[in-house]
Amino acid sequence: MNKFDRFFIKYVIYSLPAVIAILIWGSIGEPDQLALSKGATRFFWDTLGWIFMLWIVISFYLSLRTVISRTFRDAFLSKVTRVKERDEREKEISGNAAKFSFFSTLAVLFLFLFLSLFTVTIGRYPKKEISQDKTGYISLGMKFEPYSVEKSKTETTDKEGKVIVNYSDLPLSNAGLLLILILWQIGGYHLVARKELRS
Amino acid sequence: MGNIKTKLKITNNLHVLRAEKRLTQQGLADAIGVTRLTVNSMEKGNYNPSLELAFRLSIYFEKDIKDIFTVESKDE
Repeated sequence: MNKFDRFFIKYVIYSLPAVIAILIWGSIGEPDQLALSKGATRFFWDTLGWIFMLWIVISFYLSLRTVISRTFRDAFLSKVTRVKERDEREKEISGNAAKFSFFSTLAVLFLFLFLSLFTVTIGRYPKKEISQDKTGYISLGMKFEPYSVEKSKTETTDKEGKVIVNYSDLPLSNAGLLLILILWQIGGYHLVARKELRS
Repeated sequence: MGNIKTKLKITNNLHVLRAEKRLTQQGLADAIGVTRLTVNSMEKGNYNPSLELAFRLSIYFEKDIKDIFTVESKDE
């Protein structure tokens, strides 16, 4: 981990109180009015705003770096999750624990995926439509939409004018997200395992 | 030569060798580059060291590996 990354991690941790403060202040007060206020209030609001903006940018950078860089991920997540691998015995224990975590997470992801895919409807026909002694029905189905249309809807205009960029959520459905995580877990495991088996 | 498919039980006399050298578990751990808990696990027979660690112990105690570790069939 280089010194910039260490600085960024420290920034994210130590500026957290300021981030929480601006979130509380923003939820209690009116952000639009605070942005137009004057004097000390405006100064504090703007300062916290800059800290928050930098915090988001650095957090995004660290998240991206965690996914891309293996050395950074190992160093950073070992500290966050308190994984200790000081000698060969601890490495073996860590491997067994990781295997347990991998399989149990995969099992939960599969369960969630099936719960997201299947549709079950149990209902009763209206009295007028009852025929041949059939009073109710059971309907089973399967639905897979990886892309969530609702989540992808973005506002293009608001009261202040035209919106240029508006990001709020991943435009993936639950099933889509779960499927990506399952494929990522299995793919990641085989990528590393095959590489090590060949060496 | 027959097949050896039965699980082997490996015992060691690390605690004796350590006592002879008047070493604490931490002292031995520092000398061979592991944690005290690993030395404790090896002495209790809960952990079998890797070949590399076995050789490190062999070099440290100036003994043959067979003088430190004893192998017996688990079925016996």
